[in-house]
Amino acid sequence: MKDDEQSVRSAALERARASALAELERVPRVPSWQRDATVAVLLLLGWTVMVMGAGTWLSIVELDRLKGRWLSLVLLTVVQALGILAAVAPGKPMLRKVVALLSVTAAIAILAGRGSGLATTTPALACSTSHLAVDLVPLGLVLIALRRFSGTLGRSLLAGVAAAATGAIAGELSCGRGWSHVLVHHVGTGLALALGCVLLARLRQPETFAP
Amino acid sequence: MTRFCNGDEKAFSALYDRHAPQLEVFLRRFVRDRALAEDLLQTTFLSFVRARGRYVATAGVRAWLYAIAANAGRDALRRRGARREDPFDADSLYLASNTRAADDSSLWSSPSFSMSDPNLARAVGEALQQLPADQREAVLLHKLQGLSFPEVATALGTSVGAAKVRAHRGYQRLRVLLAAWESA
Repeated sequence: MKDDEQSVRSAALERARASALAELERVPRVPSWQRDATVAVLLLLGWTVMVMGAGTWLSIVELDRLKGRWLSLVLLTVVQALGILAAVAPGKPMLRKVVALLSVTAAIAILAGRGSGLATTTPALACSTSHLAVDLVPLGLVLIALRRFSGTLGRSLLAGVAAAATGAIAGELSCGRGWSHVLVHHVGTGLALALGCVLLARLRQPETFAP
Repeated sequence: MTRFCNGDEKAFSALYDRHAPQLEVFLRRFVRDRALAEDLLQTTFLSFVRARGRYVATAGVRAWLYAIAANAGRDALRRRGARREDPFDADSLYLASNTRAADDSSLWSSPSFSMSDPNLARAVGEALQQLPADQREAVLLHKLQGLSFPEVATALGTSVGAAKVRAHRGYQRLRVLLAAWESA
């Protein structure tokens, strides 16, 4: 009985060894997490630049607003870059806390920078819709980055916030409405997207279970 | 580990021989299902190979492997959604007594306790299943697998203090549960 059990165990151990060795032979080199994070950050920032360029060309983005809203824009760019880094980097709980704090600070800066706003004929929902549309590519990017390891709620949320920051940057440069609109249609939409990222990340099977 | 990270098969085999048998026992304890544990062992080492670019030396190979195994086990149990419905596998706890000596906790050093007693092994296993998941994982890793608290913390993705608190609460609860079993 014990011999049978031992042979079953040995067979299982050998199977696991053989499959791992086959994988090692198939992929003798793997990228470091630093490389993965750098690529993700560059793609995210590159996409933001592309969106701003397209928005300027279509006269949706008004670069004049850079002057008055530079603080929130700097904070959002930092949140984008550090958010994806904090989500992907193994360990680094302090970095995740710092980025979470920066995200809240950026949201406050966005709200504080707006007064009662300008009158406009554009429907308010246009901001939410365009925010989501602009964030779809970053959302896909961060979800791919999150697949490489076993994500946690905090990491997925930060990755979602990093993705949502793209739409927030576009919103800062294109929307002149007041703080109550921004709270619902920009900050609210960004938060919804970040929560959506958590949900999607939880639903998918990760490629590896590494922490 | 550095040689393994560069794709050296011999280095991988050495790591596998050192850690795989203990991980297999851990997974059987964790999911209480032999077939699933065997699948998870395979998944754990596939993850180990695929994600070696994420390894940071400060974590330690053993703790990192247990972190992968625990993540895979948690995911499998979540997907199956039947954490508490499986029959208890007393064999895996019997194996525990053969793979690691009981040591520092008063719970395990009680003169009445012997892991070679299948009834007691079953009672310990059932008591473990009644612990909240975080406490159960900390007790399994620290007491049955013999990981140090810094290693348990790495495996569970928490601070060392939090790992100690989880294990301590788990031991307290186990004492109560096993005292009730003993008096019955």
